[in-house]
Amino acid sequence: MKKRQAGALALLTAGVMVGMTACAPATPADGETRELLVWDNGLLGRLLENGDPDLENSFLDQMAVAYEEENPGVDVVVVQQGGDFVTATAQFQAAAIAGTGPDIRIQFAGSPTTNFADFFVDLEPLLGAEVLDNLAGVNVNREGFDPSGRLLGMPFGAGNLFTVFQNHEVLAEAGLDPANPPATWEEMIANGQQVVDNTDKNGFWLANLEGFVGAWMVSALVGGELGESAFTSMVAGDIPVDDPAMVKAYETFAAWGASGLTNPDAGQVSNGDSTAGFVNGSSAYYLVGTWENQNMLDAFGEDGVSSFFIPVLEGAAFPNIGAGGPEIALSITEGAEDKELAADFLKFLAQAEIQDLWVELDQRQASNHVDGDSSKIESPLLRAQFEELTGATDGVTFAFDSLMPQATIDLFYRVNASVFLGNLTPEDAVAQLKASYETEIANQ
Amino acid sequence: MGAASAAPTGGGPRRPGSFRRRDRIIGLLAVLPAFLVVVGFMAFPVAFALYISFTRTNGLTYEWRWFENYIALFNDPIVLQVFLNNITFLISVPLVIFIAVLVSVLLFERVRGWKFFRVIFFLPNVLSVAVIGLMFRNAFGFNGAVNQALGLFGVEPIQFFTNGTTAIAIIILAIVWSGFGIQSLLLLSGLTSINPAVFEAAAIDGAGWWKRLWYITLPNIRRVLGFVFIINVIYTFSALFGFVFVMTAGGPGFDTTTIDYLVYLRAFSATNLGSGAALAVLIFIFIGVLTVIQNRVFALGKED
Repeated sequence: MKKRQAGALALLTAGVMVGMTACAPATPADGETRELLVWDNGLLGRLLENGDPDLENSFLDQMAVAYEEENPGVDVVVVQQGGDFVTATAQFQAAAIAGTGPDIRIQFAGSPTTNFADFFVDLEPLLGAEVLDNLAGVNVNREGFDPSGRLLGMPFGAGNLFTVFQNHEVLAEAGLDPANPPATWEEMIANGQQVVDNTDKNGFWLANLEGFVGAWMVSALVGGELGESAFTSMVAGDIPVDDPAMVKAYETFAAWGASGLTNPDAGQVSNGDSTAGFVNGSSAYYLVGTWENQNMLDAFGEDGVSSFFIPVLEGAAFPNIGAGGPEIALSITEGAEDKELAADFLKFLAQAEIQDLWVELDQRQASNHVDGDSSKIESPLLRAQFEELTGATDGVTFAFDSLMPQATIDLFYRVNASVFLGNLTPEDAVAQLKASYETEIANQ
Repeated sequence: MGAASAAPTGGGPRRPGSFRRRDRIIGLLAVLPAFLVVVGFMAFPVAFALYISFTRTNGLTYEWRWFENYIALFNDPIVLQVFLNNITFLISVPLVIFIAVLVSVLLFERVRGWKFFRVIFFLPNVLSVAVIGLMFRNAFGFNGAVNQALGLFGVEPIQFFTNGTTAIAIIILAIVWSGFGIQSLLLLSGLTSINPAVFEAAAIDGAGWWKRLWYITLPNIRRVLGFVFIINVIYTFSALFGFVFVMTAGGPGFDTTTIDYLVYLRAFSATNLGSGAALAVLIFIFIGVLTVIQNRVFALGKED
């Protein structure tokens, strides 16, 4: 009987061993393909309608092919996550915990990168000064935003700015001249009113289901009141989250929501459906960011659309200011099997001529490489935005949701949606954000 | 091999001890796969969730926090708001059961076209929650079919999803639509187990349709009805994620966020698995208590 028990146990043990061996990751032998798995969420890659990579327009997929050609035996697999970035972040975290995450993840720069410090490796020793010294915006991806902190993401591109696109045809119909964009928020609202009064169009188009529009607008308005370091000071605790400037920005946002000047379904249109709504020509202004440049040009042509930075409130202390900042960060995950290979791919992408290729293809933002070729900027919108940036003598405010702890960012979007609809008062919204910030900071 | 082949043959007496031991081992081996599955896929995850509910963790690093996550949840106004949302969603339970009872009785009585309707009513169950959610989101969208239809009568378009009350109402509608079919079939299985002689006797005694329904049908399907009620209540607290995720993403604000969706938000979006796990543990206990109460109310343990 004991023999039988021992036999059964041996059989069971052998079965478990065989199963575990079968499940274990294979170690590539010499000559085998080395795979690099890259997760993106539409920042550097593009998909066709059918879900296949858009090889003609997708920079990331083109670079994957180019890198494979330069490095025989390497297979770069690009996965587009899909969904909004909050969902994509959750997917990444779950996969990383399960050990099935990517080797490289591309996400928003700032706190969407630094909030996942445990998931990413320090890039400083892997990339070296010869790469990093050539790139602008490196410090926004350092742990704790400390210049000596671990570098959790490689910045890519000069960044985005929150802008208002204007539909020339609708403005002309309303008797407004697009060549004279409004200088203040109040002027823009007055223009929107004129559009509603004189045409059958909406003054503004926005898609605020998730509260992203509120994020851009509040960041711009608070920047105008407190200056470009408004949110870096806030996250450091030097300016309270419930500063009167925050309440003022939210009051303006609530008034905008109640104004009747926007598309009537503004509170229930999702960000993913946003651009499609504006390009149908039913509104004069579209509050979004420079990442929509190409879509705007495709829809309206060079003469049909132009943009200006989100204007700040009348009497703002810092009127010549933009909002936005570094947008894209590439990180190597702790779970990456071949970190050297991942770092080599990042070095490949960081080259000045490679970034120039991206600028040429995407026309969404400039290069952040010191040797970037500005002549690659062909988009009239992007050129105009860069000219406007040179006039932004008060600097650029790095947005609230690029700096705050993740839980506070999530809450930020939600209170934005509620304030716009009048379901939450500006004071309550700011109080909730303050409480969340204090809780999260206390937990760090 | 050993014990069986070494046993005396030719009708001699068996050794009871060895027989019992052999049976015990065979029995243990037989239940081993199920035991491993239960431990590996149920007991361990539950125990691990309980463990991480006492920690602050992002899944990679763990910091023991005792009851801090629980205390924070009890002091969090959002948790209360979300819990009340779930209570509101309980409206769907009597609605879906009422419709399911009605449909099952009609199917049981074999109304004209009952075979066709049986298939039709089951159809929502072969659709994924995501598809159903998208259908309802599009139908009740600002430019959706419902507003287009209302427009024919001169009604201004309604923003169903910008108001928590109407958004919850639409989600409840989707839950009822997708759930009543399968529950009708469950109730139908209870109805078919009733002895037809009881109905015949009642009919002879002059009992009408309503009296038969009230005094015969419903009491005889009490157990199935109780079961359906319990699973619906559990469903309301633990399985609305798909509908909410697709239709409103929990918004506007937290107005349609449910407990299971908040668990997800806390655990993954806010990278605080400990808080999410603590919330999951609390809801697990709450559902358990609720189920025991319902069990008593429906007297599921009692013989008829």
